[in-house]
Amino acid sequence: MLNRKTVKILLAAAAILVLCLSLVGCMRGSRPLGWSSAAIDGDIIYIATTQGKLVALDNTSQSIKFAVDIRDGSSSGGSCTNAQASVSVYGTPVIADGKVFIASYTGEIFAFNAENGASVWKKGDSQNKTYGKFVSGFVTYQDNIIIADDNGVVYAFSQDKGDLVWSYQAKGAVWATPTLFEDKIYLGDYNNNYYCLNASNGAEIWKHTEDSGKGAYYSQATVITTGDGQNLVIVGNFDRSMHAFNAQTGAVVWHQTEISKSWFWAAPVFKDNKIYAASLDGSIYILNPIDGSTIKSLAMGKDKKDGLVSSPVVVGDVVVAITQKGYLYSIDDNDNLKALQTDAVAATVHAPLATNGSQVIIHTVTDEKVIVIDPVSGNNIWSKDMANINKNES
Amino acid sequence: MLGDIFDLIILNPLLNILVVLSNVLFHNFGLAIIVITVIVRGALYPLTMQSTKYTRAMSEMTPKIQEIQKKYANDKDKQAQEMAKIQKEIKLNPLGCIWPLLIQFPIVIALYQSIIRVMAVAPEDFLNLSHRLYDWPILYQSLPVNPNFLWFNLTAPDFIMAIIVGLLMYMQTKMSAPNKASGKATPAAQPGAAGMQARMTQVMMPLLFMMICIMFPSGLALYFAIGSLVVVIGTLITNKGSWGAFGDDVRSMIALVGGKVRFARQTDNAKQTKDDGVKKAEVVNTSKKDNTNETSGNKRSYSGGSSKTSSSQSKSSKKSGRGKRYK
Repeated sequence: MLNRKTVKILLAAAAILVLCLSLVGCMRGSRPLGWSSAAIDGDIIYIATTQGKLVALDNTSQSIKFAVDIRDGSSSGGSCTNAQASVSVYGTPVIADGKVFIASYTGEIFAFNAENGASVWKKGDSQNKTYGKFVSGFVTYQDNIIIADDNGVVYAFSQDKGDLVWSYQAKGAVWATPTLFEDKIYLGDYNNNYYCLNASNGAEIWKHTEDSGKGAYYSQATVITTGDGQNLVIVGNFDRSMHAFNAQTGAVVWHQTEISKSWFWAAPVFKDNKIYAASLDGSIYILNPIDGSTIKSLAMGKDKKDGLVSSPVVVGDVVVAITQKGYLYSIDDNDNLKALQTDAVAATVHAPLATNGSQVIIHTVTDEKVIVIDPVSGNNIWSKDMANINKNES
Repeated sequence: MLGDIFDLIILNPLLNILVVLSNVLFHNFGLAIIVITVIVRGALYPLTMQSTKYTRAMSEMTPKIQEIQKKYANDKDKQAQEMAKIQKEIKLNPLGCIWPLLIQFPIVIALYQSIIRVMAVAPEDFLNLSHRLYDWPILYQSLPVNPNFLWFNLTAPDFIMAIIVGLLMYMQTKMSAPNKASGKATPAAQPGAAGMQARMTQVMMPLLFMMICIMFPSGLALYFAIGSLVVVIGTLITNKGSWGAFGDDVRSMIALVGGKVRFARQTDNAKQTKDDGVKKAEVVNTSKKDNTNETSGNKRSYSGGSSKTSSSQSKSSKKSGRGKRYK
């Protein structure tokens, strides 16, 4: 028989345990929500939501084609912060071979039928940690999909069954989405290394390490062709520098240090022989591709916390960019900045902008929506509330 | 508004210093946590000590206070007068002990927050970290921090670290109470509900921290462990080498282990004696048949053997029971 003292101790222990468990959700820091961008295939827009769903939207009928749970039985809900998806997706999904591929922060890769959202295959086990966490997005090459995890392993999986074709171990964690150019992939790690790998077998072609060992890479690179026909890999890093590597040899063509006041997180874009590099300090820096010198800087952020997280896109004659707090801008041929909308489109935008060539697709994180915008007028063409999809339509 | 001021004055400076330390200390974030915790907790130690002294003095006065409360249960004025006398006796102002706690609290919270934010477990945390960095080039060369330290990953929970935190917290709590040898009564030594509550607090707090550490990134456990260690060392210095009630616990534990060993040996001896008795009986029976003189010789021999074992056991028990002396 338990005496009164023992009962009191047990009750107190239970109360502390309950208190402890309830505090966990509030004290651990942010919960991973994800910031997947849109993948576009003709009229269909594919989005991985912060609630762990794959949603296919028909851009013509402005309706939902399908919405499925990325992982069966995925649940949402948190104690005191934003609702947490059991599957958070940071990389943009890709479409190939009639399938949509999604990689999650839980270390899983999913393949869905692009027509109906049926699951085709899944690789990785979050419990056994088969793979590290995926923050990187995919590139497709021939019959493979290529992705890297935060253990620094670059994988190539077959598109049909998800079989591992090759893998490469980088020196540090990889969050950056690889860039494919002429049978090679380019990516940087958190240990200040930049790599060029053979896309067919993963063999290292060249590797660059910063002499001083500083400046991790998150940003995806952009490969550009300069006026003299030279292919340059343009990438920014946490050291607030922009690098240009010779795509073939890895030689440093130029290296501009401390261009901005904060990290280069977004991928740069190239238009009219100019590089547009978006920084977390809230400005876009327009650089000369020959030597990396700054031609002009355009401030967009409303305050220190309104940086450019989303990668800009080139749509027709303009570059479209959006700040973290959702202020949308276009930059014309003469590098004039134009605010496309007076008010912010949403509370927070982290996902890279996407385009189908004539429209810009925005995926907002808070007050989660997919918004399709006309980049010339800045008008909303249509939008879909993802929260409602999560509650009602799946 | 208040949050912004807290960030500007306390959190962001600590966070930036932590990142710089990580760079300077061979890109080792674990070392940076240790150094910043030692510096901050060390600097706050005089304040911590003031509160500890008051708590300890109050603990020692608890029996007197209870006596007054019982004695003057129906005379509140007299009770207040007697209580005031006690306050005078311990020569510490309770308000003077609340201030140190109030000053420490935001700094300790900021230290914890800065560690959590720099570790940036979720990608969103990492993104938000950029807003808090100063314009010092060294900061941008240091991030992200290396999460590996000793045997564990600072961004993931670690069971061994949780146990270390639990033990250190227990040590810290017990050291703040006087030991039995001092002759001063402690709340935990009181009979009844008050004593029970005090004893529970001494155990529950370390358990609570242990459970938090099992669920949280181990960088936080490292911070808790070093923070406790600083207080333990500080208390040891202030108390001139006295381990307080923790010393009593260690002595009890050693005595308990020694007692168990003694008991086990005694049981073995009893068994041995019993076996000897059986053997002896057999020998006697056999000897009776053969030679009666040999029987007495055997008897002496067995008896002597048994006595020798017992004597040796007794010495051994004394040795085990004595244990290491703590002040």
